[in-house]
Amino acid sequence: MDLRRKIEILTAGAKYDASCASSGSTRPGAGGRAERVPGCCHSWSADGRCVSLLKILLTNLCVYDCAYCVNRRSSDCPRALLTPDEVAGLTMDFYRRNYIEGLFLSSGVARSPDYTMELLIAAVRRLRVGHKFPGYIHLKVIPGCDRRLVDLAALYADRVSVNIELPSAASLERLAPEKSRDGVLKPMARLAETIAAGKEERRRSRNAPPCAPGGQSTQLIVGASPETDLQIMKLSQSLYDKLGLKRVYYSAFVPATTDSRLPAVKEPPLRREHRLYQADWLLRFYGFSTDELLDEKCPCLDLTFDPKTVWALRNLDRFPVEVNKAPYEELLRVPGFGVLTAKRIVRARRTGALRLEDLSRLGAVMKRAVYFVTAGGAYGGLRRDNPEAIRAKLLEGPSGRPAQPELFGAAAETPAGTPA
Amino acid sequence: MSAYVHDGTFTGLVCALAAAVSDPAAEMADETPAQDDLFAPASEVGSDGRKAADFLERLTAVSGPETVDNIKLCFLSKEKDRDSLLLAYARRAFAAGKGLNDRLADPVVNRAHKTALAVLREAHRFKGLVRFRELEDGTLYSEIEPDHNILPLITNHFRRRMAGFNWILHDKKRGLAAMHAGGRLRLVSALEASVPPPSEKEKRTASLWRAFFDSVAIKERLNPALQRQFVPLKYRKNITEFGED
Repeated sequence: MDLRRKIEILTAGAKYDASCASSGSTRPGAGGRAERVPGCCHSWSADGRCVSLLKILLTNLCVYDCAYCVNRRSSDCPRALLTPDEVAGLTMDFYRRNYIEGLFLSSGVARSPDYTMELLIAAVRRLRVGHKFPGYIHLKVIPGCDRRLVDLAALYADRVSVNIELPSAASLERLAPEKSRDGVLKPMARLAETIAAGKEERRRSRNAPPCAPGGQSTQLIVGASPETDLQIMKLSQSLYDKLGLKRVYYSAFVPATTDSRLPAVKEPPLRREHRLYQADWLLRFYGFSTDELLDEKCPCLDLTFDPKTVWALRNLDRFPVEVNKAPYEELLRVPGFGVLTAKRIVRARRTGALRLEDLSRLGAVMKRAVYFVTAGGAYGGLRRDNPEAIRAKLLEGPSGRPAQPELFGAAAETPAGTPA
Repeated sequence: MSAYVHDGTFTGLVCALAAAVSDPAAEMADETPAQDDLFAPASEVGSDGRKAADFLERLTAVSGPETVDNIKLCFLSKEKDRDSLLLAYARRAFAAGKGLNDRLADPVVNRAHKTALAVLREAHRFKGLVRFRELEDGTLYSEIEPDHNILPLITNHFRRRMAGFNWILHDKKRGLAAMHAGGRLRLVSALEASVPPPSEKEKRTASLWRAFFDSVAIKERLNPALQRQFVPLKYRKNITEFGED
């Protein structure tokens, strides 16, 4: 098969993986230190998702028959296989031309998890050892493979990931009967150990080999199974807290296959995916916990308002916040304030009291923030105890008409202005 | 009142600022002033490295190193009233002292910071958006047309990333180029017009890249407005994946 055709097939098979980051790693390269810009995006595809890595499968052959997956055994699609040399050659050609920051290599399960993992490792070894490739490598670990191979993955890659895909054991059992929860979680636990040990090793000796310096990540498919946002966020929080994951990605289920076990959805739940990313950001950068955003009574994120605004409207007794006095942590909780805005406010108020009209210059989105802050006692919002009135006002566009749906409704990964 | 003109170099600009800052009536001539303007004669300031360095040192002593960093970044900006902004910023520095760069709500300080940030952001963006093509002799060649003069800000990045290669980064808008050959980096201000033809392999590699790029988009999620926000149309003519085979 011609290489171009292989690329088309194996990219189409990899594209549903949401991961894109190339951050969190500095690896000594061929010509001195290869600088890795944190979160360097090289392009954006027609769906508005960032392209920083050559995201491709080694093969889309698969012995499993997972209901949600385009590459499942029973799917009638063209199959292809790249050789380790082809992967390494393409990566080098693209990297030199600055098309990409590196390689994201995943695969269907050909023959067995061990056999596939060995092929994947052969490809990245060819790159690192043969070509002295200094760029970024994100390598998938195939659930169920031997732990020795898990360790090798961490040796060659900057970031490693095992995809959980389905957020509960029951759904996994139903939609991916050949995979087991254990097979997924075991390599993740092993990686967490290896990465922590590697870090310790590096602390003691600067010559110790790098061990997945970009940490591990995973992906959850949203909307292919009945889990609530509460269940999903609880899972994410424990992955961050207990296994030290760097990122959890959420991938809106695209109904690319028909299967009676799958929900009948016409369109991928992009808005829901976006709200999950916002909630995830609130956990990682804004000091929120899942319990504050969701509970058994409201287990799903609001699709109309962002999760911070929803939280603020439910906790109006904590507002308005005085921007000249409130600690940084409280500023972060104001709807319409981002991390950068909160930092600027803390800095700027050292030299004099801030007025309401100063805030938008500091980056605040006053359309939202105005209901939740005072500046020197001045308040520009509505009655402070009436969430319904504020909700109605927030829904209005600038001219009093209902607001346009946000451009970012279908946003991929990084909300603007947030660190990757 | 007089308007200060300089030779367009950074040293020239700093000398003009140094001369203008102590004269409360002085302005910066953002555009070359009309010759017959008798009432606001332009004073041409020389370009003196010693003087410029002294002035930057004074600024640092008075208001901290961040001020000089911002002035350097703003110098690379395309803003038309850049010089007036920098004069106002320098005056604020001597008035406000150490707290200068905390005054983010002050319109002048705010604009200086925002302008510097805009330059930095475009430079960061171009670390990703630069596309090289391989020429016959193996040199990797790239054309860019950024809004701001970001070439000086990205050369070190590519110097490290492509240490073992010969490469050229060519800002076509300004006629500037960074040339890396035999491990040495040169900055040239006028690059000869003719670029050698691409290597034999080049067409095929670019075409494989486009095949990847087109396949990686999920058609159920098409969102060209979002894509335009990240890769504005103005940049696309120099970006391989937006070209044709």
